[in-house]
Amino acid sequence: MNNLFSGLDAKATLKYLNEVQSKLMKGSELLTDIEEIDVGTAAKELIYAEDKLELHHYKPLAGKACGVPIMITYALVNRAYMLDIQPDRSFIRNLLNLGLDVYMIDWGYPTQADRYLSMDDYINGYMNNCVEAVRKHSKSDKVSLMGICQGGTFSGIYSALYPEKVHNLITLVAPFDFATNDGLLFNWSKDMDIDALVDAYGVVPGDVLNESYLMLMPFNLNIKKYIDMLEVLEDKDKLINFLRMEKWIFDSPGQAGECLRQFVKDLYQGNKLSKGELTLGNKTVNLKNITMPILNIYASADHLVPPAATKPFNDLVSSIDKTLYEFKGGHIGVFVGSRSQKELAPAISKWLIERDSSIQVKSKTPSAKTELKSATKQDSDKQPIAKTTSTKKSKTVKNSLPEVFKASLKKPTKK
Amino acid sequence: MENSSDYFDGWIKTQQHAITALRDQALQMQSYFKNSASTTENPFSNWSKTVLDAFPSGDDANLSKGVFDKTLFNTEVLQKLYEFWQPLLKAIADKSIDSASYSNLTDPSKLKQLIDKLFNFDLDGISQLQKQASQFAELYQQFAKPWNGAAKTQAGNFLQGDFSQSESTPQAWLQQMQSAYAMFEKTTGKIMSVPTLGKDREKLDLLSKYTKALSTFSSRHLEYYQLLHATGYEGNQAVVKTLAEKVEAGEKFEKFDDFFALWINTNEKIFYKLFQSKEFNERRNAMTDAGFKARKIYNQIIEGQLADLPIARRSEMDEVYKIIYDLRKQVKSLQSKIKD
Repeated sequence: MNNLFSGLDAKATLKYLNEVQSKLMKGSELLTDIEEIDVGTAAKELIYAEDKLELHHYKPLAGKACGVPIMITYALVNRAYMLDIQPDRSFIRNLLNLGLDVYMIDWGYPTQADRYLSMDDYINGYMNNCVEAVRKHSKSDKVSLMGICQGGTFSGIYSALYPEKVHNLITLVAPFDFATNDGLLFNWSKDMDIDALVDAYGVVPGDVLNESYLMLMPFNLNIKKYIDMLEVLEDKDKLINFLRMEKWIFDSPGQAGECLRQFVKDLYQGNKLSKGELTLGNKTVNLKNITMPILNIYASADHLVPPAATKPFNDLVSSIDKTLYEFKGGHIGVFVGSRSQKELAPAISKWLIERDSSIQVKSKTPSAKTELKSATKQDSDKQPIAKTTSTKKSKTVKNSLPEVFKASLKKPTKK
Repeated sequence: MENSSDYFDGWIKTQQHAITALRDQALQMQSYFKNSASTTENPFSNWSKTVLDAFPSGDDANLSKGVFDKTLFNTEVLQKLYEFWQPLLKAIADKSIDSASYSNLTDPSKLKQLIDKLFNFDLDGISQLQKQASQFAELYQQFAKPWNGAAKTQAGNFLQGDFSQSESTPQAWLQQMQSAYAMFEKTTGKIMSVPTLGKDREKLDLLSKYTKALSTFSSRHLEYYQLLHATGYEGNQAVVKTLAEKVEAGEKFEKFDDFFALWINTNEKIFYKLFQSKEFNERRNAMTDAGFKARKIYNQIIEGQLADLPIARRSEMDEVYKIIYDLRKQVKSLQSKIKD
């Protein structure tokens, strides 16, 4: 009878086991040597603080290529330093190197005292105050918003409420249409008793949410990841990078109960945002108020926010200039993956530079949406393709984006 | 011992020594808790001071006697009781007890005389009281019997259980727990379900609710993990099936990582399918909801226990947080108006 494992070479297996043992020993030494896991090291300055929130302005690393500042809003779950996780894998540094003027909100860690904070407080309160602070600090009338995940939803809502203050809107892996059941989180949230959760905790511990995230891919996230860790155990730099990600994954702030309650009830369960029924304070959020250019980036293999929840955003707004960008990867890979560093940050920068106030935006038909296919390593030498899709008919156009981008980098424009 | 008075004087003296010793011990323990905190800030000192103050001071024997006099109405009553039983005690000591002397002592008419003498009780009332006590005992027995039977059966099952199999048959555990709780609810639990009256009654009621909530949570928790367990089994079966197919096809693993990848991917797919199912969603929600409910009751119990201590409770802090939150909003709104 055939033995499945007869293909394994005994000597090679023993050698491998010895290597594993050696790695474990060296890894143990390295782990005890590591005193600090530094994250978010790009130079920045605190320009505004309110309650637990801090707003930072990043020090420029290149000549200003874009006159309008960009304010990044991250999700309330997990920490925003993911965008600057390590010096050589920093979305923020990439944007700075491309000449963007970057601000970012740090929501901080809510305590029980913050249990009553609502979505109204976060968006009409904190976000609006941050936008005002950026406008004042940058001396710019308008601000471009870049929102990530839940922060993207917040940025979309903000843009609908205060369109006069927003120059461009970029959303990354942000959910807008919650009717889908594609993602497990969307499926699970539909029937959950959010009242029981919030009433039991007040401020819902980050670990409660983390438990759900880890269950989305239990074998890969809880077993395989740590087996793979063996590969980096002997290399201090790689090990620190691994630990940086671990730190970020488990550094989950608690969620202000009332805000989470409304987010789950009104969005996950009621899908009120896309129906135009969401109310914050005394304001109803109408996404049709969004008229500024939008760049909607989704990840094709996103297990947290499926494309079905992100893509419809372009059909819900009134913007004429709207771009749908497909990133071939997962949710986290969008802003931390190596391909993202090479591909996405330049694409965003180019998109913004093209739409800087000094550049005329080319008009398109109101019912059109543009789909940029991401450039993979294989076709990086080729021209990326921009696909403009009408709701009634489709047409594909070629777009020489890299050349435009290179040109805009060579000749940075100053406002 | 000369007479009954000597006996009671000696008894009171013994009690006096016991109380003095207890008081000294408590004072010493109290001193351990004092440190820099004042007595009002120290729950133990506060409590022990109150208790000790209720006792007579160490030197005054008469006061001690008075306390006990008051407690048992008066020493005369005790003496009468003692005198009544003394012949029997004497007979026991002399080993001269016989049925006649015992019968004499338990003669209802003599007992009536004694009770009348001691308390001036109405015998009809006492008879009624005895009847009620008897009925209560019968009632309790009626309640307790099935519960005791169930507990006995459970204990027997538990001891005879094959523990090596228990992990693979969580359903058996689940059934045991559910039947035990159902039996409890039908019997002793009924006594605990009387309407809540008074603080202590409310606390007891909460404890009962918490027990029930915990039992429900345990059941839901088991049901949930049973599903995961069954899926894990399914995953391993699928891996084995794939391995068998590979054997038949004459395939081999070149390295261990290939087998590991097969194991991970097969299980991940099967669990993803489970996580998408309605059944999983229902069981997960049932488990978490039961957990939140139990936690909520637990918080209420803790609140009740802490009510008399000089510390802020969660509900009180929540009120403060709400006030601060509302005030913050008002201040921010006013600041904004001033700025504009």
